[in-house]
Amino acid sequence: MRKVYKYLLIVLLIVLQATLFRFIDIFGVKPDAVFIVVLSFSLLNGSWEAIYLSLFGGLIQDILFNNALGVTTFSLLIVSYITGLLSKSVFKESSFVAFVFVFLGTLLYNLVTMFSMVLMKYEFNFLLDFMNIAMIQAVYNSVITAFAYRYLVSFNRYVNENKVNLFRKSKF
Amino acid sequence: MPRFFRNNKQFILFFLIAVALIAAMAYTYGTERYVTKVESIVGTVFTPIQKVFYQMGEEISDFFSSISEIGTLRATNEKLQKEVEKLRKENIQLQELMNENKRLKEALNFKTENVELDLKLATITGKNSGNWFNIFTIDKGKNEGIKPGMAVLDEKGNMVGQITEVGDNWAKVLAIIDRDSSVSAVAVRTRDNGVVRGDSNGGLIMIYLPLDAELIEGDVVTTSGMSRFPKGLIIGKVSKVTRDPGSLLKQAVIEPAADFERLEYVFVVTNTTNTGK
Repeated sequence: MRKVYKYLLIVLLIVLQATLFRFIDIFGVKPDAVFIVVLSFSLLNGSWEAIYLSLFGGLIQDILFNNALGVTTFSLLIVSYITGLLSKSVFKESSFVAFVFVFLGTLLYNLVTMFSMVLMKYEFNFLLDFMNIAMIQAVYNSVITAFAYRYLVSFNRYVNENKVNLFRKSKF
Repeated sequence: MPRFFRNNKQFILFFLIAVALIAAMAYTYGTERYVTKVESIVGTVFTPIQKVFYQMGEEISDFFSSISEIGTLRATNEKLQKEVEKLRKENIQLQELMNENKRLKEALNFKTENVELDLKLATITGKNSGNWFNIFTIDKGKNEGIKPGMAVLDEKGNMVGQITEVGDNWAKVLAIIDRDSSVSAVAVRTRDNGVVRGDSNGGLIMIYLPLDAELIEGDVVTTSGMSRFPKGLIIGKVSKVTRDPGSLLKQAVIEPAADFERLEYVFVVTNTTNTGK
């Protein structure tokens, strides 16, 4: 049942992102906390988790804030699924590994979003927008990950413990 | 072949979901619609929670900005006093002109074009958290008579965006600064027609201006009445006019009149015109 906490965390981050993150933008670019969390859990728990979490987090965001249903979900699904597949061959609990995954993942995430926008006949200057939005967000996201990843790892360990003993003192 | 399916169950599932998502994108993109029941329920659950957080954010930011403004209050006050006096004089002149206009119209039996706007107040509950789209949600929907395609104004009456998707008691607004938004517009002084589109960096651009367009920096641009939005909603001011390279048209950079960073409440214009699209 503790798995529910993961989904609650994602819901909380979606709400925070939509309401308070506009105060913490750098050069007009906001970080993506839902992306960081989904990618981290995909890295820790593999590709099935990637599919479940990205569908959950992505669809809620799309329903609430996007005119084209699926833009966020599609990008999130692709990036976290690849991360889930690659997670077998890396040392998962290292913050540095997560840093690299989030940095490259953010770039790919924005590339896939831009690809969807091309399909929808949006007009933009590819190189300029990629540098102005994707690069800045990649740096921003990965720096946040470098600090927050160890807490996500312990949160993940807590959630995955199967023995539920109500009388045992919690680590938290 | 069956072994392929058995061994790659996960990949096949992933692939099917991805295809379904692309199909969903293609199906829902660019349409104005009432959202489905499921989407409406998701919005109904999230809207009140987000409203609380959004208001909280506003209060915190107000608190900090009022601290930083304390030093400049006196100067601002004096400036505003002068502004009030100036506006009062202008207002009297305008009243005169309005009366004159009314008399002349009556004399000529002229049909009045500017209809009164029916406004409905709504609170913003959240904004698209990504960096590519400028969409936000409000706390009024189908139950309050909101329909897709209605214009949305800020507190001062400047054009902010248009309603695209409507749930039972919430709705999505596409801001005019989004890349996907286009509004038929006219320069008030020179009557040059064009289309105002967003550039997604918080700015606007007016395209399809004829080469002999005489608009200059500082001209006010409003909705033209050729789209379904009411005529005369203020969009912004011209900040630069350039010639479109390689074409026989001009374009102008417009500075939006609404402050999209500080939006808290908006008005939805519930009367739409039926002409055009």
